[in-house]
Amino acid sequence: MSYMAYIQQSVQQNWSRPPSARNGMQVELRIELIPDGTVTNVNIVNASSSAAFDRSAIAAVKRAEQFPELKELESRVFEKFYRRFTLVFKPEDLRL
Amino acid sequence: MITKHCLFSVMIAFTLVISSQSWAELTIEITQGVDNPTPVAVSPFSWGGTEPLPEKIGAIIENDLKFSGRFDLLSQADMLSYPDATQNVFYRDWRALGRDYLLVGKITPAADNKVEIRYSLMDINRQSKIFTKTLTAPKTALRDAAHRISDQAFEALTGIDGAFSTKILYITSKFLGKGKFNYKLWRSDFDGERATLILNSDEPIMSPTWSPNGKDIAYVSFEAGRPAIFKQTLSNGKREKLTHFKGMNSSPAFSPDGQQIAFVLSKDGSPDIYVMNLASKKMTKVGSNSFAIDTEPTWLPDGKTIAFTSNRGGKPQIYQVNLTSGSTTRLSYDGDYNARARAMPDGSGLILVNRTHGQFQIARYDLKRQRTYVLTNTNLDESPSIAPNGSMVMYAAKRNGQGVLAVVSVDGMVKSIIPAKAGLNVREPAWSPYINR
Repeated sequence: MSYMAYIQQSVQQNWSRPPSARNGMQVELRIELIPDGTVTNVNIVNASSSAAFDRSAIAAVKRAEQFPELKELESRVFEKFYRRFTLVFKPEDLRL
Repeated sequence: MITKHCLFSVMIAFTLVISSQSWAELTIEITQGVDNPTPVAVSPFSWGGTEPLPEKIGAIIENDLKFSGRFDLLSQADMLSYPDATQNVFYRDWRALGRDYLLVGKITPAADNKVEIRYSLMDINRQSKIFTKTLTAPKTALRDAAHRISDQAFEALTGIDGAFSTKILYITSKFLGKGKFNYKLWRSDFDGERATLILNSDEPIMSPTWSPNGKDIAYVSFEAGRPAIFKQTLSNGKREKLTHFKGMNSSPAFSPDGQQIAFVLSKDGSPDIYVMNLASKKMTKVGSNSFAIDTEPTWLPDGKTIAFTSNRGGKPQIYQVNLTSGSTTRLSYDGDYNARARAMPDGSGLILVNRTHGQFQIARYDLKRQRTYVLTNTNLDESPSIAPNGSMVMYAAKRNGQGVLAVVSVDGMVKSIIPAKAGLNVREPAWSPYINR
């Protein structure tokens, strides 16, 4: 599994969407990590129209807390791709 | 000096561009989630008075949030402290307890036998306050205050208006022996608390429904030997008999503007849908098909369309009639039986009783996708009624042979039962609109 997929899976497993969430909603977060994979900062870059939806995305990252797999990365690769990156939350699996 | 400063600014700008490019390169999309109940805690509200309060506000809020099924509540015994204000909250403790949000509150005595409640909703992950609000309430209305606070917390955390301050109507029947029954029409809080009796009769009471402003109700009563439709004002109990024709008088439904009421009469032979202007009492027959049974009208939020049950195609299915053009179209095709529809407040669909493989279940019919989604998995579910926020459906179900009220979320994920007193059969819940907002 790729490191991106690790991050994706870990965040998805911690994401509880509020009942007002609908397919097509979108919030963009900027994540900052330190080399052991711990999340040090989460900020909203582009908010959705719903504060509850945005909060649920932040909570998912905060609950994931750390991506320990990233420890395996060469520091050059970590600095280039994983020191800071963007997470786009846009549900596609909701029933409503 | 000036030049040096400019150069420095340019360098900063340059660095920002570079770094923004480097983090923008990697974007990970999150398109799925697990949707577990959100972990929250309600710290017991502190009370600064001397005599104990008649209600525990924190406990009522906790029950409300639990009832919605969207939250996982932390029990008081597991809390490390009982903060009552933002400055007493140790975020690290609540984080260790796995909480995402925390509600704290402080009750202090106020003039005229009232209390002041100051409460805050905290975001544990971001270590910040979502809101702090103050509310003044008479000591006799603490339950209302608690439901109001639940509404606000629910709204902030789910993005949906809370419906904890709403009421329900329901009917109970009791077998008295020797073929005799007693029927009662009740109004209570949405959770069954504070029930007050509206009508007591030895003859059947059926189909209670609310006017859109929540001030009037309508129902069918057999008290005069045969069915009649009554309208009743809740504040003073004043009743008005709307119809008392030979044959069927059933299924009243107020229009969204409250000016008209739809119902079913069989005075011309087969049951037909009528719309009555409440001021002039003028009646019009709508969507009629001379031989079929047309029944159970429900207004769509546009106020121009009525959906109803008809057996004109052989078996009961949902049809709709446009009140301006009079044209009728069939809506439901999934399953061999669809009936007793109620329109969702956003107009996106209908909640109805569907029968598939012999099981009667509550289902949502999506008007845009023209598809039916079954919400419950028990048999003999009936009489769905939708909360004004469109997120929950209350219906009548059978448990151990007894009629009870049950609740399901419109996505089918959350279900709960409202316990009924022994020996009472509870039927036909009607969820009120928003009251006093």
